[in-house]
Amino acid sequence: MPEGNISKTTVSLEDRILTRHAAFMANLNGSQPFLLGLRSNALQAFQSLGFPGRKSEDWKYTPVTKWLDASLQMAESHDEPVLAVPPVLKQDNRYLAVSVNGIFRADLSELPGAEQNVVVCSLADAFKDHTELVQSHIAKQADYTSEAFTALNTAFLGNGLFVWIPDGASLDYPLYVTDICTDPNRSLIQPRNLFVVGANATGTILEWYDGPGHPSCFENAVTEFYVGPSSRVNHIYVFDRGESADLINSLFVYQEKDSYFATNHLTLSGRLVRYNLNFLPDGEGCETHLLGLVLARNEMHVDVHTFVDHAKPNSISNELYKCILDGNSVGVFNGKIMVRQDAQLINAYQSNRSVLLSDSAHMYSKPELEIYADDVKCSHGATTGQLDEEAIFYLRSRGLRQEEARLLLLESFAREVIEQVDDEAIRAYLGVRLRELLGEPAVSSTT
Amino acid sequence: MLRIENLHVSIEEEGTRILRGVNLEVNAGEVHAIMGPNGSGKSTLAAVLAGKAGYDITDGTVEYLGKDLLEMNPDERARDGLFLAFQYPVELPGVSMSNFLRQAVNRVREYRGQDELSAVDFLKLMKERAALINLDPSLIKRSVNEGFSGGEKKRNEIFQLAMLEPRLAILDETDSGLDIDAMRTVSDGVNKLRSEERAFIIITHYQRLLEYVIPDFVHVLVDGVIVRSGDKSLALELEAQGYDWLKKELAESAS
Repeated sequence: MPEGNISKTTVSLEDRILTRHAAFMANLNGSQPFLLGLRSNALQAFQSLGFPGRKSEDWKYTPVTKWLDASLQMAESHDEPVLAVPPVLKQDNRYLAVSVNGIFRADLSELPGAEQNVVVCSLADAFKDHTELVQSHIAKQADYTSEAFTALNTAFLGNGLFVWIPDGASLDYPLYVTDICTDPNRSLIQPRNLFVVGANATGTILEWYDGPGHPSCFENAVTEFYVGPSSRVNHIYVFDRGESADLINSLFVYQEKDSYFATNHLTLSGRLVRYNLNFLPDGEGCETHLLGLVLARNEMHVDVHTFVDHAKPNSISNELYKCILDGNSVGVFNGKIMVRQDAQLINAYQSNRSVLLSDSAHMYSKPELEIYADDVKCSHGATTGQLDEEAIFYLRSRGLRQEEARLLLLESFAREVIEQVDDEAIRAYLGVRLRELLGEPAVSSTT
Repeated sequence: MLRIENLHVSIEEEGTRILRGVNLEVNAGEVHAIMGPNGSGKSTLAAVLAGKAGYDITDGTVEYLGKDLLEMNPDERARDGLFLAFQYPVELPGVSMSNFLRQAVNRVREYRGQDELSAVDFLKLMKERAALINLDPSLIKRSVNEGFSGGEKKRNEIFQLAMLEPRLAILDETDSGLDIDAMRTVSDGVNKLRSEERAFIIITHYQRLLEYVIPDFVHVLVDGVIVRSGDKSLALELEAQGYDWLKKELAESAS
């Protein structure tokens, strides 16, 4: 591919972004100086960083400009979107926070009552009603000075989702978070979420992004979690928007002492999917669990970058990412673990296991351990292989058909991750969906 | 039930000839032992009968229940009642025993025109058959063969045999690596599963297992050919004199 084409395309997109930003800023009546300053600074950072090119080490296997094509528009807001809350989210005993094209919509949501003492609202409202709290947390972990996509998201920050679980409070039911993409054009949408969890608080947050209408959006999402001392957060993230949706998802988690944070990312479809998952357990006694399952087929490209930064001693992190790659799909796993000098007695485990179902699928796996403390236990392992022919023969010799044997082995491979999804209804749904996806014959690369 | 005629088998690609004209007939209710030194082709025979890939059948025929066995794929053979107890059972991490066996049992039942077993009936059957062969019930709750000891793996093969109720069971060196107690339980299991309708082919290097599972016929396989057949006394003769005795005798008769 000639280099010139790529840069021409991205320049024009960048130009459109700047034009849009000027209009965005001009239309903000009465907005706070804090926000205006944040957006301007972020835009400047974006301009100087630019979209990462081939030479960027962090994007080595994911030349992202390939997906930032000339047809990409800045999302327009639609007044009367066709709305369908994904059926799987219509469960009992849960709360629901719905956004449309990255803009939170209280009118479509089902939120905890006042007695729950939990705040779920738009970031715009939160800036007005919880000014100090929001200002002290927003864009604190999500460093926009060093990463172009975080900068771009921050430059347009305004109407995202804000969730606050105050000290001692807990969500009695999981909060399902979803965004419905309604723009028929290929558009850039930029969801922004801020979760502030106080001390001794608990909650389960399930983010769900599927694709009624098969959106061809390019989503650049940024989510920040502040997890207070002795708090527990379960986080589940499901991406299944279909084969023309792109996603860059940057997650930033800050943990205070004795806190617990578990996240499980399940990626079932998409075209480009890139995760930047950052964890900073910044107190003693923290526990961090990172799990993920990637199911990629056809031309899908999934890149999981994780960074666990153990800044304080006596903490545990445990990381497991599994990938099943078929067709011409590409998987990337880059797992960085840092153990800082004073962070003694850290147990950090990392494992990446991948199965390739076709000769033209590729997996790039790279652990990166930087350990500056001397009394730590760290381990990492990466395996990539094909389905074991001996295992398939064993199953067939017991009467299972070739396809049944294959499916049983793949389901069993995925189950280790799925069974740790801490929501029964979603877990059951995922089991069915997985079977559906794995059971479908992959589209031949020649068609 | 099974008629093997002039079976010649080579290893695919490298072309090494393993079986060089095997003839064997097995009828319902019979127990046949196939003995032979290492490398004589015993396990190849078992693998070819089960339908494992990687072998070239260069000559000969195998008829099973009136059908051309070599034309059937491995799962068809299994559904039609052929069972191989593996010499080295495969570990299947994450695949639960009950999930796997329920699918297997129901595939076989489907083939036989029987209804699928309900979850309750299936569990009942598992418990009953586990007790029959003294399988530790906790193993049923684990992943297939994962972390099982050598003896547990072999016992699990016989357990699967008991679950699937095959017509023809081939035991490939089920006795290897078993201590005397494990051997006794496995043999007890096999003896309980003997019936008029079911045939066994027991492949073994040693005579030991045949003290517990008394065969109707004993065949000796050397260099890919059955060089001698007899009754159980042949096994004892081999035990006393070793395979060299037979090889020597064969060499003499050939010269």
